[in-house]
Amino acid sequence: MPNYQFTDEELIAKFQNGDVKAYNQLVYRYKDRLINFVYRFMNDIDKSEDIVQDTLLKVYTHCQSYKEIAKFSTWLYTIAGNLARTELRKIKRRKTFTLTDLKRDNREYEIPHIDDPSESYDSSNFESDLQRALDLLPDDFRTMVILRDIQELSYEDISKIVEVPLGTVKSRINRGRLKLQHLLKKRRY
Amino acid sequence: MNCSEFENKITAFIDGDLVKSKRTEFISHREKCSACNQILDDVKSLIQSLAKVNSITTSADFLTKLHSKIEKNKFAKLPLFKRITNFTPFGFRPLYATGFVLALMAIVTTSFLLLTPDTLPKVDISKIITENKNHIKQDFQQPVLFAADYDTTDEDSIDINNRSRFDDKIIMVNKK
Repeated sequence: MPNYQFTDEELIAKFQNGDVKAYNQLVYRYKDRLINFVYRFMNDIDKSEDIVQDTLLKVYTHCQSYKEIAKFSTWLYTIAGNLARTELRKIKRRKTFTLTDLKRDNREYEIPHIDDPSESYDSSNFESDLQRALDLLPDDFRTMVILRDIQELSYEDISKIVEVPLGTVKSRINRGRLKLQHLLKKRRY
Repeated sequence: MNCSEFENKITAFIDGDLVKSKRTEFISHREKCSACNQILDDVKSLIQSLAKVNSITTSADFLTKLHSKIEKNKFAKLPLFKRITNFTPFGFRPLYATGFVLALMAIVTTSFLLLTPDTLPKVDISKIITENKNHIKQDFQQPVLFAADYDTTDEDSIDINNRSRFDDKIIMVNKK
């Protein structure tokens, strides 16, 4: 963890008092962390960047709505997660619409099956396999596994971000890891 | 402890959250069940792999795009008048430029009028009014026609009742 001169909470307080440099520092601190978080949902780098920019824009425009009852990172991940989920819902709706159209018009069209066990597994493909496996995880499990194992947030922070009790967070992370491991294993063999 | 319970306790075991008795049960099951032992190893290696995954970075123009979004947002939130005055296509402010040009034109026109007052023609308004009145009178005077002013007899027409006059004309033509 890098040693910063100011904490996130101090920086957002400075920004709330009009210090734009403090905002820029927060952007530098979080832009890469956020894109790694959002990319695991979206699986599209351009869309992920847009979402991260929208998240940071919201921080800029709604900075006064942050109150120091929660950690700044919790607030930030909540915004990013909500925006990512909204975008995913839109994409899913669009996909459903397109597939309905294809069903009606092009019955010979088949959606390629991604879980092909005959495909040989290469360890260099771990990233892409992981992304596919994450896509197949239910939304709740995926969010928690990403926040815990990729973003390395504490259970308490995750509990605040997803607004579920700590015990539920722990059990969902456990089940999410097991499911993810199962999906990855299926792809390897 | 059975396999299902073992799976449910994996994360708690890794985090060191199991109480001593449960931890002993967990380890004892792990030693007996190779499948569960394999799952535990797989989950541990998954956690390690996920921690190394953090490799994506934002693009080089990320900050430029972000700042342009911020500027656009600021501009969109301004009231209409402010938006017009702050509108700067190609870096120019058309409202100020237009105002400046209009002011310049007004100054030039006023200066021209003030510096050359003799060039303006002198106008006698009473004369114009009198002339106009006369024109109006002439234009609207209706011509009065009397029958006496016109000769109704047509020399070329044949007067059937006075045939002798017609015959004289024929004779004259023959004699030339």
